[in-house]
Amino acid sequence: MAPRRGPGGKSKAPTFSCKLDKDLGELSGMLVALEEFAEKHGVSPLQTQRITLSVDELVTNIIKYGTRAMEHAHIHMWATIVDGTFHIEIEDHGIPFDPFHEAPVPDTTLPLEERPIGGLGVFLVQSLMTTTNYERTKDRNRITLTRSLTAGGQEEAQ
Amino acid sequence: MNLTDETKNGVLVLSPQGRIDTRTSSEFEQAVMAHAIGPDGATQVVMNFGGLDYINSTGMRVLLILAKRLAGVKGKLVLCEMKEHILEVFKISGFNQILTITDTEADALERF
Repeated sequence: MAPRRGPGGKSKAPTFSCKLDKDLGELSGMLVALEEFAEKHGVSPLQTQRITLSVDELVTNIIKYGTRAMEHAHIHMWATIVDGTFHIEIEDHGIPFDPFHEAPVPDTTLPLEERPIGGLGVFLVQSLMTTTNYERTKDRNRITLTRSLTAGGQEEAQ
Repeated sequence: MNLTDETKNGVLVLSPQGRIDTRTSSEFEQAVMAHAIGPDGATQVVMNFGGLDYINSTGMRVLLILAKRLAGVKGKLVLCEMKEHILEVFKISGFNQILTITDTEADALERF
């Protein structure tokens, strides 16, 4: 089920939505609000951190790269919790970029001296989320994430 | 993000508190490098994460830079007191294979 957008939806499912400017300070504030939303609705601290980190990594990339050439850009985000699953949608008007297929996959087995600096963000999202999806519609990038709240709550992801 | 420092048995113990995200990671990087790198910088470093609530990949990048630089001068970095969600992310990234991570600060100090 896709997240319902805003309070106009018929669902009683808790929803969170916000619009950000491309600003890292706004992102920090949004992440704290998202954490509070998750905790208020009974999401465990571990699951909350997985969700917050995933949103952070993707929106950071949108701000730093996807909308770099744009003087002003807005990033929209929606979240909802339905049937034990946390749903997230992130939309932006930046350059077309599918992080889940275009971002290089890091080799996490390399020794310290051979490890490149950076490039872990999208890999973390794919490891921490249950599903990840990207689509380009008209002039927008849309990322959809889900995290099952009933599985993988305690054991380590790896 | 706040970073405190103290020296115990000749080992520099750095303790970041709060949140290290994309906005605060450059501040974290500058503070860490000021203590641990440079002409009078320490080469034996413990990073105590007990007060750290959050770190993203830009913060992890700083730790990788620090670990590489310390390895280059025959120094050492040991991380300790990591919260469960932070340890999970370090394991996914394979950082537990290239960095030393201990439960307690006392365990960390024994590694030197």
